[in-house]
Amino acid sequence: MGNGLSDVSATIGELMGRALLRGPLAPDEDFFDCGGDSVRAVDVLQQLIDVCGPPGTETAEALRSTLLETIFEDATPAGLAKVCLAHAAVPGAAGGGPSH
Amino acid sequence: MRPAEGRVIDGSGAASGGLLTELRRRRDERPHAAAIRTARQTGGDHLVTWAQLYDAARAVVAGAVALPPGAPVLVIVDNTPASAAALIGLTAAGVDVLPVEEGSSYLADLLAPARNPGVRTVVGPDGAAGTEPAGIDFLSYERCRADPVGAGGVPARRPGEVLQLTSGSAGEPKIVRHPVDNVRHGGHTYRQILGLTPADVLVAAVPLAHSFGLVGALAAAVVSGAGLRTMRRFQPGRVADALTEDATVLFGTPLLYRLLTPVLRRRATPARLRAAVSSGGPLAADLGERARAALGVPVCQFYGSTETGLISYQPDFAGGAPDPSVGVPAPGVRLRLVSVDPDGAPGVGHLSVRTPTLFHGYLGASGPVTTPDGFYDTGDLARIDTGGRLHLLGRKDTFVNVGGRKVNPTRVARVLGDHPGVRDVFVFGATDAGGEQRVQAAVVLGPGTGPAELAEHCRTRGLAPYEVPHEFHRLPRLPRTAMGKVDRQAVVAAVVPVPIGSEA
Repeated sequence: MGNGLSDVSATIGELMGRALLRGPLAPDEDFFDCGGDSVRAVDVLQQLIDVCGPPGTETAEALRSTLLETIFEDATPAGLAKVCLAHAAVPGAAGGGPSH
Repeated sequence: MRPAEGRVIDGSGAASGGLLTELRRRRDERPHAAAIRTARQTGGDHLVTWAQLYDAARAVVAGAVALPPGAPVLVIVDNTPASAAALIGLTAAGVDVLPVEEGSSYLADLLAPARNPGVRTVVGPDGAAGTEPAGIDFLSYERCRADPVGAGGVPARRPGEVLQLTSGSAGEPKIVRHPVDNVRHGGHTYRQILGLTPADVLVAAVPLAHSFGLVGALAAAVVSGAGLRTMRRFQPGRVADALTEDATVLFGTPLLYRLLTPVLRRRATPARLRAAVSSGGPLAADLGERARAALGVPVCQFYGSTETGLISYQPDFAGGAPDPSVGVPAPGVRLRLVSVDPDGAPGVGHLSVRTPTLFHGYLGASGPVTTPDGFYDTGDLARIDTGGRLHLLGRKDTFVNVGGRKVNPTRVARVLGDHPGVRDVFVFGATDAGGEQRVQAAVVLGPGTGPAELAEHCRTRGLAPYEVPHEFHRLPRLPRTAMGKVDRQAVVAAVVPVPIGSEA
């Protein structure tokens, strides 16, 4: 499986959809416009770090820091996927997939 | 029990005449200094000076002559300078205002014919037009202004009231009546406690529609001349930018500090920050420690309510030992503990307060809200320690506190109960591992109905995102007491392990 922007974006869209009890979000759909709130945003980011976070606490915390700031600026799966790729964080890096 | 009492407010700089009089002084003193700066979502800011803010508020006073007399005006507050000018100008013109946060689900409820408390005009940002029912006028912030020269509008002899929504301890929300002078007085209390001067820059990471932001941030800035920074929508990056730049005092909720602390990892320690204030719910000790490390100052908890205004605050802005209390009484506040159990622990009881900013009653209700000697029963169970600090032991409220926003579970349950597939429902709050409360719904469902449909139903019915249950739990029936009431403890015990939807 590839781990390009569209794959990471799809994973994030799926996590967001699950937090909202609906189907996956499209890459350019805004999580807050779709019914997300801060508490759900924190959940989604935690799951995202769990499934594709880099190993090691320090790098995971750096990713969390960037993701937290980003989701309140650009809450789309594509926007967050760019951050993950910039941190070399892709689904499966933590040894788990999004579906478990 | 000897009542504890805070210092008496010094009153210096206090003047009657509401916030407009104060605003005129700021205009006279420093017309070209920055008054309010609002971060735009797309970047950049919207900035007004004290002269511009005063002129805008004065034009609102002039424009108010065209409003239906006696009817309260609902103001959608988007935290911009224009929204602040509308609130200050309308109250100065004698109009009662009902501030509501942008995106609040109460907007539709309040304007529904059966519930409308007499509102005939909604004032808000341009984009908010078109949501109001027939018979209600919408005016943009700009369109409710008139040229003050020659328009005849003068500040009213009796300033308007500020009407504030409160979640209510049980059942339906209520509207609390405050003379605008309470807001002004409350602003002076914050000014005095925090030692605010024109050299300060306050950051409101909270909505100006609610009392903490309205009084602690907006009114305190207007009465002290401190600059105020606000944002349309909560963005931790913008808060962090303001802290790095020039902020001296930060107002936030515990959830704000939870979201901000990781973001601050990538920034320099705030250079000028000298006080961080948290209100809206209890701040967990471990979060307080992490936030203090990132901010360079301790996070001080302020405790109060919509009905009373500020009750107590932690005064050690510069540092000190971790403080498990909610601090000392605010200036002019008297505390009284009414013992619940004569054999109980000494110094423990239901907290009653007398505050200089006590509300004047609930809209549409009559009857006294205090004891004959002026004390209001908060319903909270509390203790006062030997050092005179107040400790909260239990809250009477049944609302769910989602990041400082009070969600009324009865109202959420009513919306869910309207869905044809829901046979029975009970809504309550549960605190997660991070210390945040989440909305939980225990539901008895008919065949073919699932949580996805219920979440969508809540959104379609206009509940705000934080009001839509974060977890749904399907039960074969709701446990009830012998009296027929839902047995809350039994529901909590039955549902908390596995929410439905999580296994989907």
